[in-house]
Amino acid sequence: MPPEKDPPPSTEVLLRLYEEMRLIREFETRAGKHYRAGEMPGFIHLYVGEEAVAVGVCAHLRTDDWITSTHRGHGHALAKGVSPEAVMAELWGRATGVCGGRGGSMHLYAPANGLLGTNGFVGGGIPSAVGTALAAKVRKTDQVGVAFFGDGAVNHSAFHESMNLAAAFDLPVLFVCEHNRYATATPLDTVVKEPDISKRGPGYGIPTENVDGNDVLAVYAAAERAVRRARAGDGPTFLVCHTYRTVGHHEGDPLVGTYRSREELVEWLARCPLKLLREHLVQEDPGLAERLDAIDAALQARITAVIDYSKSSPWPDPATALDHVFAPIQETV
Amino acid sequence: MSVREMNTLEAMIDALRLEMRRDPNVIYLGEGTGERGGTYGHTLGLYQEFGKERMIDTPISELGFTGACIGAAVNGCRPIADLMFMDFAADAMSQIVNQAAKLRYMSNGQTGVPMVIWAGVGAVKSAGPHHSGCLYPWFMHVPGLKVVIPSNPADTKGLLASAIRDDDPVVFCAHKLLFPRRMPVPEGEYHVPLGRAALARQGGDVSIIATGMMVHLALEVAEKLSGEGIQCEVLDLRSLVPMDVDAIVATASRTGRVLVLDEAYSPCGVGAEVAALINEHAFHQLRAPVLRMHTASVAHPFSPVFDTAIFPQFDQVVEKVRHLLRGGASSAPRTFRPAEAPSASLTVTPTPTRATPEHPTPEHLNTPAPDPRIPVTIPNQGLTVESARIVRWLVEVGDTVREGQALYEIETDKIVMEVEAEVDGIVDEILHPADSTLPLNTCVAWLTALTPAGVR
Repeated sequence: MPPEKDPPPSTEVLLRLYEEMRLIREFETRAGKHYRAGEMPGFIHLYVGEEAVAVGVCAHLRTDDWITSTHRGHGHALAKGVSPEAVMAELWGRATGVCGGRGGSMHLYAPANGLLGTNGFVGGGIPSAVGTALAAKVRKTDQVGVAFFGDGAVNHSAFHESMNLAAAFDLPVLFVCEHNRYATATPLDTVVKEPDISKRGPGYGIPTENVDGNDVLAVYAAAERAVRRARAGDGPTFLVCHTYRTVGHHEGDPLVGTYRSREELVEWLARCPLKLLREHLVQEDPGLAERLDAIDAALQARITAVIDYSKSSPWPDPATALDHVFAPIQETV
Repeated sequence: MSVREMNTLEAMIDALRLEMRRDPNVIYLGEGTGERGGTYGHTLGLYQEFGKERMIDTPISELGFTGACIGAAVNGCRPIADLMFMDFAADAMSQIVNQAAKLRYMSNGQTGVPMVIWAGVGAVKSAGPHHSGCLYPWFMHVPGLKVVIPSNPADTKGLLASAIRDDDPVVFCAHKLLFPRRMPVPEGEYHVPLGRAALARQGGDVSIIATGMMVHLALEVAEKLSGEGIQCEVLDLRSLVPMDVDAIVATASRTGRVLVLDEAYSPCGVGAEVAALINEHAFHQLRAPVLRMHTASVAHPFSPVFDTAIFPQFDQVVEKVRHLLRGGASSAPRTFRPAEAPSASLTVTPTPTRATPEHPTPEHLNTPAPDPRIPVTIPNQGLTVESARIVRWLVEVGDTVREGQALYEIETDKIVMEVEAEVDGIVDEILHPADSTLPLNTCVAWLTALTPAGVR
């Protein structure tokens, strides 16, 4: 689709995007450190390197818009406004976590923030994002549903059925593929005949854009168009955001090795989304370097506090293990 | 409370209509459930009243639209996902089991999924291995799902209304053989609470705990045995999750002898669960081991002659009850057998199928009549239609008709249609006048065939 030109975002908006990306980067880097130290239960998948996608898209969303996310979902939760304390404490399995310790990293839910879950299933959240949009249409709200997923999900039936459903009914959905090239360790082009994912959108009648997923400005601009289309009732958009995780698949997984090379990693590290935005801002106004440094320092301190809070939070009461299987007994019948 | 005679389909539509009028957030997603009115005619008229925005005809995407219902439920709707046949739920299973069922728990009670997963269950008219499933024990196993299976029109209406208003996902098992059954159903708002069994018949000697269509088999058996002085109590479970443990324990304690009768498979099924509950809560009241009868653990074979071999039969149930009265242990064949020692060769020799030429043709199938004339019959319909009404005749005795010419009009639960002549001929005799309601395949008229020369 021919991209319309929106006025470029103001410096203040860009600084906010930077701050949110830095929050995610700091959160993830520090969470990884504590995970590797053996302090956290379970396993975690970090969003390091892909921050521009969640931040650039969620910048256009309201609290009552819904997103569904992936196993690599801390960044989406934070970008959608869930407090880092609530997310981090959940990673620690504590009562103060966003799900009281019942969910953990891959099952973060915060309906008050429009987060309909990170997900333990590849493609698992795509249908319900479409469903939130369906409800928005039925209820005549102008909410938008956003499904984040990776390139590993585009061969799953959930992707195909959802793309078709959203297109057929002109639902206000953004399908945001975070194309980081590997489904765990399987390069996309080894499991598809046509590695250009963006060709799949037109097949469903969905306007599609390839986006530099490491350039938050590009993501921001593409998402602005897509959200506008959705709210105007013009139906779904498919954004293929090309990006790269500069960490292993999950913490503890090798950074490079069988499926990707050190050289490739170094290339992508040079295109770090935070670095790109910082360079852009400082080039425009060298005086901003100081403000960016201040943001970095403040978030470093913030995450230190978040970690202290999480580590010192109480464990959930095991006596509540059977709560919330069903709704409380209702009086309707 | 005023009542009106309805069949199960009408009762279902009545519940849907009332709930959809009451709450604009109730939406219905299914394949052909919009303008067409559903495979079984179970949503007839709703599209016309509520429009395509709420009676949503989906693509064949069980996973996609069931998953979409989850998101819609969280965002304020009360969706019904119509899977048509419960067998098809397998395609949507991950969304049901891993997302819908777990969401309330995973989110620590922040949100739930108020949706209904509606599915036709049960074997009817040789629908075969992919359209006959009673797979509800799958769902009984999953924390966070409720499961109901009504046995009559009134409970269908009441349970469906309750399921729609429930704040959790409810799997609604609609037995296809129930659709044409009629009874007086309460008019207006009517609810049957989830989790309550119903005592369908009282009796002091033996308890038959049954589900769905098996409730009717149990009642027939109870009626017969009553003539012999054996009084059976029949408990209709209605709700499998939550299960009415109190009612189960009460009936088991009253009679001390329990037979579970259920159309699903036996392993890890309704019988196993009920027997275990009785063991835990009423063991000392038992006078015989709890017995169970289920469909044999095979993939519903197509040919109708297999039916008697795999479904609990009237005589078998009678015998089972007598067996219980004798205090006997189960004589049921074992479901699981240890694997036989592997053979030396991997070559598989097909087992010859035993032919049973003496086996009679099942009653409901037509056999050619020994009459030189051409019969005009009420054409066979879909799986769940049993009878049709002749609306009017379009020809009279003595008329010459052409192949393809409309002879008469019929009306079923689903449709009104014209029945055409299969050959050129003369109407020789009309056996049933307009307004007759007759079983499918009934011969309603005779034609005398004309040779092509005779017509032209």
